[in-house]
Amino acid sequence: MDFEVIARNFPFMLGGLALTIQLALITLAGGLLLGIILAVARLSSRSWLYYPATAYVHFFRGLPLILVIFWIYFLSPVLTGRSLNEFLAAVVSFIVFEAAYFAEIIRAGIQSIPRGQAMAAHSSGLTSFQCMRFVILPQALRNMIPALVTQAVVIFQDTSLAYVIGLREFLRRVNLVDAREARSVELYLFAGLVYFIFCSIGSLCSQRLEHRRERNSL
Amino acid sequence: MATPIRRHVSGRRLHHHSPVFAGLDHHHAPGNRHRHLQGAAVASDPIRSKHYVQVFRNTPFLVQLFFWYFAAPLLLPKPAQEWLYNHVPDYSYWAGVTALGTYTASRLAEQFRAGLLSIPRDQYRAAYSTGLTTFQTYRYVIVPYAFRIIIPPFTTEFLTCFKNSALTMTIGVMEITHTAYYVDSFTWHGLETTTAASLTYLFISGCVVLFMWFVEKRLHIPGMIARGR
Repeated sequence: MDFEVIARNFPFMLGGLALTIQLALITLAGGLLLGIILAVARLSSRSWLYYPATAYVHFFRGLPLILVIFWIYFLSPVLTGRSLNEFLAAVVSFIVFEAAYFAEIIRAGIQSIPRGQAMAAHSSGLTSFQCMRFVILPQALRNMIPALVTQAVVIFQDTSLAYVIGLREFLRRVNLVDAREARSVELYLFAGLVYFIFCSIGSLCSQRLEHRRERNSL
Repeated sequence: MATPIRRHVSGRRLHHHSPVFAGLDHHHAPGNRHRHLQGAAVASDPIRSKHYVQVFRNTPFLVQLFFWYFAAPLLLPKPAQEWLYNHVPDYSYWAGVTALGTYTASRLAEQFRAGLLSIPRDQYRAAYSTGLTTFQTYRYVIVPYAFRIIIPPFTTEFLTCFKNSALTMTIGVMEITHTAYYVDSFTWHGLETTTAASLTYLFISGCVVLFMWFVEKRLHIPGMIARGR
């Protein structure tokens, strides 16, 4: 065991961690937005909204993320005529993939709001869009915060898959350092520890929020 | 009155030493609903399944995979390492199996725990009062219930495991995704091959869901499981 190797390559690996966090935040924002649209479409009574959204969610929930990354990577030259750079390809595939999971979380959140809320909003003269925007979604999202934080932790872990298209995020850099220094045990334990610390903080936050929500709702 | 007490003590031991039951102790400690499931000597046994679950859930699967593939062999003694490198040609496959197995076990443990906690306390009481030992209580009363309750989350976990298997391509296992990528490398038809791979995944997932739906329908206990679909 020689933990010197970590100290020596610390700045290099930390740069990767910054990219990982950046990736996770962009995915979170984009995935949440697309997820809300999908969730609302999935609860819509219009069949031209309901069926495509449902098909989308089931399709992406049935695939491994790694395959979606390859798929976007191969699909983009066909659609746009040139290939995306690695960062953009990773971001697009993460958003497209995670949106399906967000959609299911948000749909459950919207369904947990009592029907009376929507009725009251409609009877006070709000349009359907205003009702969703000002009455249902604010309550639904608040209820869903613990689940969303858990999903954020999952996204943070999933960003490590950008590894496969050669993006130099944290795990890729650890891998590169290992290729040079050949100290697998120390380096992968270190990588695991770093992810563990970040994700544990996220999981603890989620648990706290869940407890607080339970207390407040009583 | 000595016998039931002894049974209780042995029950605690059981929770402590098996990965599934040990997680039961203090997750629900404040609730008091399952006091009989809480361990007595919590502090004397610091490394428990809860930590196992936490470690596996809070690190990316890819890191775990790399650990088993790159790092774990180095922790073995020299002769074992040499044997591994010389006589196990498909080591990447076994590393993948180990990683997937340990990871999925940690996730399933949580589902089992939830299933066991959802069994009404009266079931335990009734079983104990008929004179069953702790083992018999679990074997003949609790686990048959719990297993059926966890069929839906179990299906989800199985599909997750199935999808996670795609990640073993990063250590060189030739599974569906890797094959698609490999065919692309000499035909330049990546979009077609990945689409074919996607359809394969969707087809198998569909079969699994149908099969589990059938199992669930066959095994469901009237009045016990609220069936959503």
